Amino acid sequence: MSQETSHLSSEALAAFLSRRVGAPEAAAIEAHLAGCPSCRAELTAAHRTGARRERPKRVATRMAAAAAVLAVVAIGLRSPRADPTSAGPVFRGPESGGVVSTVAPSAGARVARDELRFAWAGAGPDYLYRVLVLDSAGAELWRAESSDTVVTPGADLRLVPEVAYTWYVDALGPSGDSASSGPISFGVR
Amino acid sequence: MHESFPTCRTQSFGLMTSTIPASLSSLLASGGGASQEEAWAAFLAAHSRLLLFVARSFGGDHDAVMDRYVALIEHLSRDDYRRLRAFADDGRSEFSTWLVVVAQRICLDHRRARYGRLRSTDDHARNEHATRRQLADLVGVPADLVPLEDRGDLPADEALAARETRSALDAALATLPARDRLLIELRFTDDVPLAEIAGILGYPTRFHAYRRLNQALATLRSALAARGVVSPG
Ligand SMILES: [Zn+2]
Repeated sequence: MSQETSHLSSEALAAFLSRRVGAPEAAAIEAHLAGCPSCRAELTAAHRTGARRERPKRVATRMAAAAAVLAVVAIGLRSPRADPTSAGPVFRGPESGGVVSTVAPSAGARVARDELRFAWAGAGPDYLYRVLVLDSAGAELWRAESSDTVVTPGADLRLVPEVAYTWYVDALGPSGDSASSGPISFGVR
Repeated sequence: MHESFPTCRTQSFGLMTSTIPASLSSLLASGGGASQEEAWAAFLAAHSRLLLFVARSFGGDHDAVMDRYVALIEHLSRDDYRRLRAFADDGRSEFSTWLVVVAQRICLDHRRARYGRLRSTDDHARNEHATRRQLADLVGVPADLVPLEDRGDLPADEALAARETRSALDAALATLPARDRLLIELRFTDDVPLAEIAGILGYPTRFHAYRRLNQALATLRSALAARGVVSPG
């Protein structure tokens, strides 16, 4: 079989898995699948993903908050004038719905570099926190992990005055639940 | 170990229209500008977990997963959400199923663009031969005819017999309905467990899939017997 024969469309594969195709089309799809290892692999993988999603792993939870933040950063990238922090609703870990309340620096704040502390309200006992600072393009500049609710960045975090940065904190609970502050823009004087 | 059954769905083939999730319809209805960005953020809040799940299923470290995830959201938003509009136009599937299939394809393309084809065709061919051999065993092809691959070290007459067996098997397979062929390929070429096959093809349980598979193998056996490859019975 030629490598360039046309494969099933995503729509056809999904409709087949969702059992939303009529009998003649189902037969055609089955015939293609029977002869095409690559479409079969997609079909099996999609089915597995659907089945596994029903019993999620903890690690997925942990990364969800980071993904939500990245999503906001990407929105900012798509439209240069957009400030990531004003891109609509406050971002939550999409799974847990948890939000970490931040204290400092607050959104839009400009603080002296030597007074810069990242602080937030504790999410509960035995939580671990991860603080990240991103530049305006969304690239990670610095990160720290702590069980405390205040982190003082060392000299390894170099910030240029009057430039917009973003910080956020993710919380990871003892049972694998997560929460995120969502991105907060800040700068240094 | 407890083996969980896939969700049971009976094959209905009803032509139902699927519901477009609210997060998607508001995104597609939003005119652009700030309201569209808000709708896109809400869409991602609703579906980022699924997208992340697919991104993770391709393996790699945190950075690799996030890289893929960014590629996913970039691709889905491209050309005024062209890919998402295609779902709304087609509108047959469950949205989450459709999104998984589409996201997988984007991740596959992303990986190919980065690293080329990863899977060795040799490995794939070797597995395929191993499972084909199992199929041959099951339909009663004699053991000395089993080497289904072309092996240079076989004596000429054995190589010829092996080739004949293989083409007889392929010809017999071709007489089966597409659905049965698919069932056999999933089981004996791809080595997918029956419980999963049941979920994929919509059999209520793996026992239903097992029964159907046995019927298909019986048909295959008689087709091979008719060609004189195996003895009848
Ligand atoms: Zn194909």
